Amino acid sequence: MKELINEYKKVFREEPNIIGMFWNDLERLEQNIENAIKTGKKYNELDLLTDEQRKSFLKGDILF
Amino acid sequence: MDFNKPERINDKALEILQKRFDKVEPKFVKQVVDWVNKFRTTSGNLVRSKENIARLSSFKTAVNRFLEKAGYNVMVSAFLENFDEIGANTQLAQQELNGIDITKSFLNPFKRYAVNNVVAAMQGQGLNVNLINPLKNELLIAVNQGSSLTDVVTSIAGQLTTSEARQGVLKRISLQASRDALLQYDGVVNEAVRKSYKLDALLYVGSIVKDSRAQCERWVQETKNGKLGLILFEDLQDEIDWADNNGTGMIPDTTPENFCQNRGGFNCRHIAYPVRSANYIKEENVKEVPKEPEVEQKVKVPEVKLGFDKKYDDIINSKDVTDEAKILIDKLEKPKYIVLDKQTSFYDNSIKTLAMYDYPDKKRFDDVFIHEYGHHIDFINKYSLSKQFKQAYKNDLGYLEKKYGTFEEMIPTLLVEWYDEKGKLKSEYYGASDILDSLSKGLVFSKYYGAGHGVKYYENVNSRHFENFANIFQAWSKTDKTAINNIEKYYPNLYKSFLDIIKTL
Repeated sequence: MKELINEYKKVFREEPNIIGMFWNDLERLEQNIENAIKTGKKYNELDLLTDEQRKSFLKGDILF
Repeated sequence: MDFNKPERINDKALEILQKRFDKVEPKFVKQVVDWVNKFRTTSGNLVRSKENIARLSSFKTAVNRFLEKAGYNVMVSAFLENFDEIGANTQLAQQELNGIDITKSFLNPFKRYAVNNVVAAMQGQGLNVNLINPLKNELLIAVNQGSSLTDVVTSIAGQLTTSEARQGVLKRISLQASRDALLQYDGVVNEAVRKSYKLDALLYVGSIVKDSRAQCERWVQETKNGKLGLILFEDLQDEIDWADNNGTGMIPDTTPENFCQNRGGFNCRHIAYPVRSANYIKEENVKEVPKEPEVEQKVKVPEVKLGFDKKYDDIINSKDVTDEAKILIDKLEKPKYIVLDKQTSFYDNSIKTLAMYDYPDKKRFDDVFIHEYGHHIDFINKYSLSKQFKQAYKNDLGYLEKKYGTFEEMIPTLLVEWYDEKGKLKSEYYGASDILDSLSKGLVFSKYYGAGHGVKYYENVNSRHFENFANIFQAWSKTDKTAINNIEKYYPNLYKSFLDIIKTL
């Protein structure tokens, strides 16, 4: 994970936006970051939520 | 009351000791071998010289230095801390069983005695007699006879190194000294309590496993006095006689006077708590009185129906979930919706919805479901935001800092214990790891890449408490107690506060 995130930071010059939604599924988190590096598209977990879910999460109503 | 706690403290202490020892032994053996290799030789044989003889006189000092460097003394010190935990449990048990307040000054002489025994066996006389003196003699003979250095090194390394065929000497010393030390201490204190407070009965408790001895099964299941495991002191000699004649492994010369200490024999895992029989036997001649059958008023374990796909009911109703959790879940309000989500699993309080990602691994699916269900229960009244639960969070933070130091010291130390040799977090530590992440405001994940929600998630202070509740609920719900025992060990205040909350539901 450490190497992967370092690689991500080298490519995008910033941290991936990890909000904890895969905290108990680190394999998928790694896969997602790998894909981001491959495709050149930044990784932002907020984008994986629907609009409603994002609102709920930012209000503190969604717990992973 | 948790009667099996001493057994669990003992098991865990021995497991950790064993793991630590596995790291100590190779370092220790290497240093001893390097030291032996420095003897003067001619053509590969030891020389009988003044220098070599003089070198032997420093063997004991060298061994002690090697033990220190290899981490042996730290390992022993860490093991000794368990005596405090056993003592604290004894205090709690006596308060709950008999209303007796056992003070530290009552416990201290027994603790000193028990600790001294372990120290003597692992670092003092036991080490001298079983390791230092025999090896020193062997070296003396080898120097005098001009033996081959290679042969001497092979012999000494062979004696010290644990293999499939045999235990190394140091390991044998450590395991022998530690194996029964904690429960013997517990027994000695119980014996003293019985005598000091003139208690006239014992509660014989503990788990029964495949290898349990016949006498232990008999005593744990004893019901003739109206309380499971209750044995009157006046019947104890008969019971010991029964064990001597029908059981196995009793310690010779076990008498009623030392029964609390010796219990069912060598390395017995059971505890004999001294109690007052009057607390349990209320009336005499009860058989003469016509009465309702005394069936224990057990709450019937319900078949839980959540009202959604049956697979969710099956998780709750499975044997992996405790009856207590089933009863609680059945009693409380259910989520409004339980749905599948394409991305991940979560609980959304705004719509009272539990969303599940369809993990291919069933165990993970079940575990995550119970975790999210914990959020649902918490949100019924936001129990985790209570003053007590928040205070417990602070107390555990203080407890860990005192024990392990700063997060920079604490997190790497704990992660080493929680990960297996392949660098994978053991599943029974997931909850413990995330709680540590919450306490460190996300450092476990964001800095050390351990399991946890991370810094961004835990910027929300309430989320720290919500997750702690859900993680403890998840572990508490399981019939496999490994995870909850870990949580209790590292976060005793949060665990206790959680239990206090559960009692009110």
